Amino acid sequence: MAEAQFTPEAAKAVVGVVAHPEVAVTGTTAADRILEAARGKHLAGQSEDSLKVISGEVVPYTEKDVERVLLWNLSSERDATTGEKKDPTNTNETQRFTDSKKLVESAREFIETGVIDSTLRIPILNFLVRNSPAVGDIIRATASAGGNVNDFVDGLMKTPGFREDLRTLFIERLNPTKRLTQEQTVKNLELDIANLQAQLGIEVTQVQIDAARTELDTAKAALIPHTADLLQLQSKTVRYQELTDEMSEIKREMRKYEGQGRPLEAQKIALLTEKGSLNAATDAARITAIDTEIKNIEKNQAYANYTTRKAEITEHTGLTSEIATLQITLEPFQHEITKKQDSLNALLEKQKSNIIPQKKAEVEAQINKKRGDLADAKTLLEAEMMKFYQEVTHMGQDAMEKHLNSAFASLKTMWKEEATKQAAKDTTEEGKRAALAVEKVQNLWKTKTTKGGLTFYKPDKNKAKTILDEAFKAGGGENIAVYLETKRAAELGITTEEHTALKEKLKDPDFRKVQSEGLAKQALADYLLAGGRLNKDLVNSLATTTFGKALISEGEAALQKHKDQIGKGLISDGKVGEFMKGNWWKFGIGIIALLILLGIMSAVR
Amino acid sequence: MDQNSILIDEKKKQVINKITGILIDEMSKKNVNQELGQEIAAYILNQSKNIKDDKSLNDFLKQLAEKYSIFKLYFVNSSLENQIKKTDEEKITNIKEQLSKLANFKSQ
Repeated sequence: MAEAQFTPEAAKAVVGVVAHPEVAVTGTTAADRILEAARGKHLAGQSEDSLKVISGEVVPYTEKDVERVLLWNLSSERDATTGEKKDPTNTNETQRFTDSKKLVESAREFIETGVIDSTLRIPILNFLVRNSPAVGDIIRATASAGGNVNDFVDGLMKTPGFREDLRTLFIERLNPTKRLTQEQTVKNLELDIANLQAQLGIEVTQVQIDAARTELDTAKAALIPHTADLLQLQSKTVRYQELTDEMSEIKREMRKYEGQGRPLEAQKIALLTEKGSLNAATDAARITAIDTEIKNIEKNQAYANYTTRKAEITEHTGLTSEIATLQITLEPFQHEITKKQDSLNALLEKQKSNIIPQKKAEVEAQINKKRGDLADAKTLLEAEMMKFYQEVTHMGQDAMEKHLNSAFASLKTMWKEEATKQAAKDTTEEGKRAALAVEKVQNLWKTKTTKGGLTFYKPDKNKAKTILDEAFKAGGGENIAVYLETKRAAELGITTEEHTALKEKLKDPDFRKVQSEGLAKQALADYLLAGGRLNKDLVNSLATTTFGKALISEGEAALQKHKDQIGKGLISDGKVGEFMKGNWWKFGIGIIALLILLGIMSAVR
Repeated sequence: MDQNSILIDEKKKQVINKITGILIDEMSKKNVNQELGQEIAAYILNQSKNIKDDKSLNDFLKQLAEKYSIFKLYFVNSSLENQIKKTDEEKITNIKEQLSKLANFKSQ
């Protein structure tokens, strides 16, 4: 028998619901998404809610929006009728969906109410311990000393700017129009393969025909033990057919001879009855007379015709039931034979429309190619789902990374602006040359790379630390000034003219102090930005050296101004001096708070 | 809640609705960036809490227009409208008073 038929319709059924056309991820920014949500609420008459969206008080997506985008991007399950995505059933997908949903709910809670729960905090804490050279050592030391690490992380999360960074990522990564681009490709390939298989599916092979013949032979063999019945059925059917064909003539003749034949028949019966009652010894004469009469009756043509026709009618009636009895016995065998014969005939008919071997080879090659493409597309789809999952579950840590980096970058910008402003006061050629020299000297702790004809300078934490160590020596920033004066121009990466101008300018006490300390500050900022560790040694240097103490004083002033905006885990009561007493890690917490705060405050000035 | 409170709440709602529309339009036209939009929205949410009567509503609008120029036109139009309405009401009151005096004069 042929296998279940593959048709394009069946193929569609195998593949399932064809995905709705997906909306590609648009290039809209977080600002666009906010504006769109705000407009929607305004049009719905919810102006205050609209303002809350714009002001950043709430995220612009409803819980339903978020759940939908999670489903679209983390589940491969679809409702068979509507085609909508539904909760995943696959274990991995379920896990990812649940994790993401929990994190998103926690992130929303933090953004909208400021409440921090462990779902949001733990990944940030783990990230900071593993990946943040700026705070990793401090957290480890805090934990070893039994300090409250959660308070510290909460404090970092409450520093101004982190909530906004998290909100921006929330808006970007949970954009409700975000879809898996590979999903449609997978569905299309599955449908293509099923359609191609449908083309191969109608082919009838010789094996299928041979099998059908064998089944027919088996059915015929089952009839052999009933051959006698079959022969009887055949002869009785023939006889029945003959009598049926002649029946009208038979009946006509019977009626024709009935007038004479029936009385003679009755007479014969009466004679036979009488003869049966006679004694052969005593009534021999009467018996002989009866026999003569019977012979005479039987010689009568009308009587003979009548009785023959009557017998044929009786035979015809009897044959009906005899044939029926035989048919009941033989029918199942005959039916099976007919069925098998029909199947064989159908296969033979279909074989005539088989695709030619060349075409078959082409289709098979296409299927193999599509299977390869499908495997690739599925891998990409899985990767896309994983990427989305990672983007959602890493929202907190990514926001923290961005937050710390932008705080350090702002700190660097602020320090640079201070120094540049001071250097720019002297507008003479010599003054400009000295300012340029200071600018170029900053490349001392950077690695030079050339790409596409352009030169880039990337901060090197080790080189930056070397410069920073000069500032940490007794004398503080003055050491940097001496360093600039005593090194050769080439060693500083400047021209002789620039070095001369710089040395001349360093005689100005104001320039000397601001620029040398400015360079040390730039080195510190670059050290942190390049992944330098804020460890015990550095904390000690910052706490005990002239340069470090000056930095802390600067930070303290800013802290006192903005202490309300900082979490208690970061600084207790804003009393930095007292807080910094004791273990180095407590000092470290204070310093990191100061640096972040200085950077953040400089950015919002 | 008395009738006056209901009336002022309704007026406040209309004004917030109008200025939200202006803010969204200006942000859409890129005349206001996201950062400034955020600041303005927070300002409106915060300051509108003080609206208790017509005077505080007018003060709120005036300060808003002074602080953020995108609302100036709306404030001017709104003030003019109020002024015209006030003048009309005064005229009607005057005419009523004159008619009343005239009626009293005739009956004497």
